[in-house]
Amino acid sequence: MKNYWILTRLMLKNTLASMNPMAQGEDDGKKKGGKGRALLLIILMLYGVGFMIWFEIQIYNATAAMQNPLLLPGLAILLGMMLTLVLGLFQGLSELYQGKDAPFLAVLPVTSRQAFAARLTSLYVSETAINAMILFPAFILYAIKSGKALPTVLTAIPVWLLLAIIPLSIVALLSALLMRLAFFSRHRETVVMILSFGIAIGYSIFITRFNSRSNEDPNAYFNAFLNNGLVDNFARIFPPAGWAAKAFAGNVGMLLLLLGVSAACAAAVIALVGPSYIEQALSTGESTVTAKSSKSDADMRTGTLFRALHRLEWRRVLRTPAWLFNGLAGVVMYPLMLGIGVISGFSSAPEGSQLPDLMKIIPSPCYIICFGGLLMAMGSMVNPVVSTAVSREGGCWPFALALPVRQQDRFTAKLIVGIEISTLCSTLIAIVAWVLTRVNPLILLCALVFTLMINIAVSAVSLWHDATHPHFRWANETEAIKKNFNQVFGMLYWLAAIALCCIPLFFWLDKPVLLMAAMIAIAAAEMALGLWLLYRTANRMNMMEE
Amino acid sequence: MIQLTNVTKVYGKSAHPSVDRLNLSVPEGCVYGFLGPNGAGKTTTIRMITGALKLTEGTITVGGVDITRDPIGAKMQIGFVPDSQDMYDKLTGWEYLNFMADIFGVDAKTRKERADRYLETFELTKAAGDRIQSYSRGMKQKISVIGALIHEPPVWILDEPMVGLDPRAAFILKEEMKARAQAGATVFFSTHVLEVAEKLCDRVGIISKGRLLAEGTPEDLLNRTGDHSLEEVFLEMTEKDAEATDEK
Repeated sequence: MKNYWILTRLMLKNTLASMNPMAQGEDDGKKKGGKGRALLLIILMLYGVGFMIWFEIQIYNATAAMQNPLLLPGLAILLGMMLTLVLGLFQGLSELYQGKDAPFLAVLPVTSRQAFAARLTSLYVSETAINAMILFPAFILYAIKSGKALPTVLTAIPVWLLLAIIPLSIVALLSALLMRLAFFSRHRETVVMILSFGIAIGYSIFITRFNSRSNEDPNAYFNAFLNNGLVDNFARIFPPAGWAAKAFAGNVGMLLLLLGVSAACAAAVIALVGPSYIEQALSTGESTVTAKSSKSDADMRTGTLFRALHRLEWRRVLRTPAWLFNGLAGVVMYPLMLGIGVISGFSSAPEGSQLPDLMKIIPSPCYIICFGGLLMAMGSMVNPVVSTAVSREGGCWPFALALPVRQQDRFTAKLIVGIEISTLCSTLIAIVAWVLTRVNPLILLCALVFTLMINIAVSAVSLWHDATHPHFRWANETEAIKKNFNQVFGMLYWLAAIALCCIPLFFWLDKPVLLMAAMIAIAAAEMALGLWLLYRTANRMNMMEE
Repeated sequence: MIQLTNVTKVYGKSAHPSVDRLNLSVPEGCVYGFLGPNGAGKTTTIRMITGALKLTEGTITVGGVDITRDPIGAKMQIGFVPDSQDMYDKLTGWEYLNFMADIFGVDAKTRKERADRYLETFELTKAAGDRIQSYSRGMKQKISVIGALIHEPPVWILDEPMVGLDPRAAFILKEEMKARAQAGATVFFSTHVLEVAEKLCDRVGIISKGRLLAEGTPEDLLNRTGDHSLEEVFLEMTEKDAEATDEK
């Protein structure tokens, strides 16, 4: 037990240290913008929490007017559990099995079960912290508005603390199964990636199909959901969410049930997965490509300098599981989830209000190009590969600088890979949009060109930021991408690019051609600015560090 | 050849230079050992010679090409083996060598011939199809050495090359260094292993706190100090330097 606590403390400290924005950018003894990062983090947190509070007040007011004030905390509980379950699968895989510390754990005088329990606890703490941001605004709002402060506190705290345990236990079990299934494959990372996407998508389809089957008329369904079916619906989607919602409402029996099942799940998963955990984590780090008896001509095929750099970037992303999961997961998942969500939303809509019918009433294709383009540009928001491209070089950076490669060429290779990933996401959204709306493909192609400009702009500025503020000192590959503050900057640059493109909406919303021309002009200007910023820095860096 | 003239490096706003007015000249056909205690400025100097780090003052030329003015031209002449084990370890050995050959523009026939030859010399042929991440420390060092030799550079720079190598691999590497120098290349390496420097080097330089304390052939240094081994020379000089700094 003592070993378990020591390991848990160590893992938590490590997680906190790697997330400390003040510590990032301390390379070669130089502090680069640590205070700026901390300030930005505070602003972002205030903005996020502020937005969440505002949003939840709106929902509370709407639901209270319908005599159902418990809906808001119930929705927050459901959201917290779903996020832990779906997103936790990707995070769980990389945290549990793709850290670089498995060899370190293996030589310590601790049991595999203790190491697994410590890792799971560390994951639980971070998920519970995220859940606090989702649950507490809703719980506090409910306590204030309903005037039941003390009973709310008494039920809210245990519900919050128990919320992540069952989903995390499921995640840990699924992760272990995935790793075991993939163990015998030569292309282990790819198998794990495909299987985990399959699980996440399958679960999403299950939820949407299940819901759409429960009611033919969406309006009646929604009313039933709000007025009397709340807890039952939660229970149907994910039973523990129903227990938690009932426990929050003051049902002691349900609280005890949640507590008992949570404890049983955690104990079961530790007993099942724990004994083989270190062995499995170690095997993940092993090479999955076996020696070839002789080389083929393809091994030594000549190529240009750009092709060599471009291929190197792709190989590193595709062969590093943590980068593959965190870099490409959103890119593939976002369009698919969007498609599933839209399909389920319209599947039960009455005749005449299906998506293709709705598209016909849009007065000008220019609107589709403008708004479709903005929607597709989401690809650059969910792409952390380019915003961490230089940081991910880590200890290889001094060697990379010693190669006879112009900084411009190096950055171009990284930029192109980033644009390719963003554009892959945008194209998938375009395909989903075409399947759903049957809009003329030429219009979608025009929208894609508009999107491409935004993708180039955001990728160029994100890469420029990472090149000027790299975070080379990461302990493992997950940290390099996931706990790198530069990816937050990447999202901010995306937000800024979209906001600027939206300015013409205030002036020419009723003049579609002018609106489209203005938005494309702004996107082109953003693209030019981004590229200028990136290549000016590349010239100045002159391939050397200061 | 490698020529350093008044090379100084000051990191950020530090009051003390990491490398202080360093002058060095390493001719062609020479194996040059760069010695110094930890933190003396060896790696900083090597990073400046390889063009990875900006000079605060001074000039460096590699094969007559100024590293600051024409970094690509200078780097094309260098084969560099870093001291760090961080490398592109997601590639297989073959892919890494092919990447290096692409970067240095080595044609298909030559790269195959050289890769085969060096892999056999360093006994790594069987592992070349594996990802580098599965290699031992010594194997990583070997593939790094082969990568630096794939374009058979006129200047070969190695930072602590013996670390992690077993005696046989270290012997092969030393023989290769001698062979490269005999073929007319400049071989510049840093090391802590003074016996290696004494036996292998045509010239050695001892650096401490960023300044060059002594330079010459191993025999010169022994005669100058009256010591019996390079180890004694090294300890005497670095201790004297430390005492002088303490007095200041």
